[in-house]
Amino acid sequence: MNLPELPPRLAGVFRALRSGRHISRADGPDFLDLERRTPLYEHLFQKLGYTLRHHSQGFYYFEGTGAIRSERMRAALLFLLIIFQDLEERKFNRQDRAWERSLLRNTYKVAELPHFHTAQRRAIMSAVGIEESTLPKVLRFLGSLGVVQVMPDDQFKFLSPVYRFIDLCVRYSDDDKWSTALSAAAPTTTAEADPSSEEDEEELEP
Amino acid sequence: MARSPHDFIRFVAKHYRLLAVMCRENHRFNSDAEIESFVRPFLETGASASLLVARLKDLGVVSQTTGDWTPPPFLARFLADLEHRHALASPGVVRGWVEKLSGLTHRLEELSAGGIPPGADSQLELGAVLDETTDTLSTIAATVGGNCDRIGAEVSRYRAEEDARQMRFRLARLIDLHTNYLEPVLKLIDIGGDFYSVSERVVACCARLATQIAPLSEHPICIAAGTVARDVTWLRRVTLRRAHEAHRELGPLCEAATRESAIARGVNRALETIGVGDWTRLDLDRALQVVSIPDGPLLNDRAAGGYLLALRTYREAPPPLLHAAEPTSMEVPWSAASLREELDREVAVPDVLEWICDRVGRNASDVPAGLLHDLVEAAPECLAVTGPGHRQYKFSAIDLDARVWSWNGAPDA
Repeated sequence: MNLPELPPRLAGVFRALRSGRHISRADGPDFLDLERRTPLYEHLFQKLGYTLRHHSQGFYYFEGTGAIRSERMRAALLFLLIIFQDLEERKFNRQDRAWERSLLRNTYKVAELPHFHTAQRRAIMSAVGIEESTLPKVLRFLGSLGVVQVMPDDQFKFLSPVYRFIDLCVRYSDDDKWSTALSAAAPTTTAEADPSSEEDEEELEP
Repeated sequence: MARSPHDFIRFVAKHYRLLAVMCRENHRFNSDAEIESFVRPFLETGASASLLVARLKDLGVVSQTTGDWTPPPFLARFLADLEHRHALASPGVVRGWVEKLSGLTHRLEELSAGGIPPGADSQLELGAVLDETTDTLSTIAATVGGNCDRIGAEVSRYRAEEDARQMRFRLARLIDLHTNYLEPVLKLIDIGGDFYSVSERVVACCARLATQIAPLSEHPICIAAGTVARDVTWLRRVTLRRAHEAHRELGPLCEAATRESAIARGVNRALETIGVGDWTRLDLDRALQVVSIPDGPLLNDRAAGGYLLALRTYREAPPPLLHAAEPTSMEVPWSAASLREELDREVAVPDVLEWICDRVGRNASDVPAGLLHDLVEAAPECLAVTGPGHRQYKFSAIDLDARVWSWNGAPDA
C-alpha cells in the first residue's frame, strides 16, 4: 500500500486512542479525519500493532487489553448500570415511553442522579468505593474515555461510545448460561411481564 | 318486575368472566344450590354466593325456562358476538382461509384448463367456484383488515394511557400482538408468502377465462372471471397495505420495547452479580477491552516494545581493559593474504619457503609450512615446483626436508 501522505490529525488521534479514548463525532476534526481516511488509519495502526475498531453507532476505538485499573472500570460500569436501570424504571413517565433512542439527546444533572436514592444502590456504590463526593471523578473518567461529555452547571450528556456499555448489557442479557437463579431473582422487565395478569389489572379500572 | 338496563349492563361488566363461561358452556341449573356451586369459584373473598344468585335472578341474567335456570339466549348471543369482535383471528385462522383458497384455486385451475368449459354443469360449477373464491378472498381481507384496525386501536390506547402500570401491561400485549400475530400474518400474506402465490394462480386462471374471443367474451363466466381478477388484485393490495401500516405503527414501538427490555435484563443481571460481589462473572477484562497505554512504547507489540526499551537503556561504554598477562606484541600475525600482497609486488621468487621463513622467522616449522600450503591453495597458478630435488630448511628445533617452490608473479598464459 502506498502512503502518499500521513493523515494531518494522526498524532492527536493516535495519542487520544492510546489513552483509551473513544473518538466520536463530538471530537470534531479528529473524528472527521478518522472517518475520511479510515483505511489509511487502520493500516498505519495495524503496522504499529493496534486494531482500530469502528462501532456501528459511529465512533472509533482501539481494541485490545490495556492498563486501565479494573477499579476505575468497575466504578464506571456500575455508574452506568444504575443510570440505565433508572431510565428503564421511569420510562413510562416520559412522553415517548422509551429511553434508549433519546439517550444521546438528553442532558442529565449530577444532582439528580439516582445512585444514592436507595439503600441498596448506596451499598453497592459504596462497595466499589464511590461516594456522592466522588461521583464527579467517575464522570471525569468516563469523559476521558469519550463516553460522556461533561457540561457546565454540573450537567453531562452521553456520547455515542456509551453504546459499548449498552452492548455489554445486551450481551449479558443474551447469555444463555447466566445463572437461572440470578435471572429469576431479577425484577421483571417490560417484555417479561406476564400478559395474563393484565386481566386482573383491567378489573381495577372503574 | 321493572328492570334497569343500566344495572344489567353494570352487572354483566362486573361479572363478565362468570357469565362468559356460563353462556359459552350453555349451563342449565336445577336449583339455587347448583347455581351457587357454579358461581363460587368466581366470587371475590368474602362475597356471598346466595346474594349473587339472588341478584342474577333479579336482574334476569338467568331466567327460568322449562324448569331450569339458564342465561337468556340474547345474552349468550351478545357475549359470543362481543368475544368474536374483540378477539384477534389467529394466524392459524388466516392460514386456514388461505388453505381453503388454495383448494378453490386448484379446482378453478382444473375447470378453466381449456378455457370456458363446454358443459352447462361445469359452467355452473365454475361460476360457483369463482363466487366462493371472491368470498374467501374478501374474508381474508376483512379478517386481516379488522385485526389491523384492532392493533391500531391498541396502539392508540397504549399511547393515551397515563397509568404507568397499565402502560406496562398494554406494552406487553402490543409486543405479543406484534410477535405472535402481525409478523406471522405478514409472512403469510406478503409477496412470496402462501397467500400471494395462491392469489397469483387465481389471477392466472381468471385471465385465461377472461381473454376470450367474441362471442365468448360476452359470456357471464368471462365477465365474472374479469371481475374476480380485479377483485383479487385490489383486495390483495389493500390487505397487504393495511398489514404493513399496522406493522409500521407497531413495529418501532415493539422493537424499542424489546431492545430496552433486553438491556434492562442485562442491567439487572449485572447488578445482581455485582451485588453478590462476583465481578469475575462480568468478564470485564475481555468483554470491555479498552486500550490505555499513554506512556508506553508506540508499538503495541510486546517483543518490539521490549527491544525498543532495551535500545533506550543502551549506554555507550569504552572497551574493556586488557590484563597484563595478555600478549605483549601487537603485531598482526602473517597470513596467506598478507604474504600474497607482498609476493604480488615481486616479479619472481625462486624459493618461496625460504622467502616466507625470512619474514616469519625460523622458530617453528609449522607456521611457514602452513603459510606455504595456504599460498599454494590460494594462488596455484603462480606457484610451481622447481627442479626434481629436495632441500633442507633449517629451523630452531628441527630441519625440514622439502621440495622447492618458486613464485612467478606473471605466469604464462
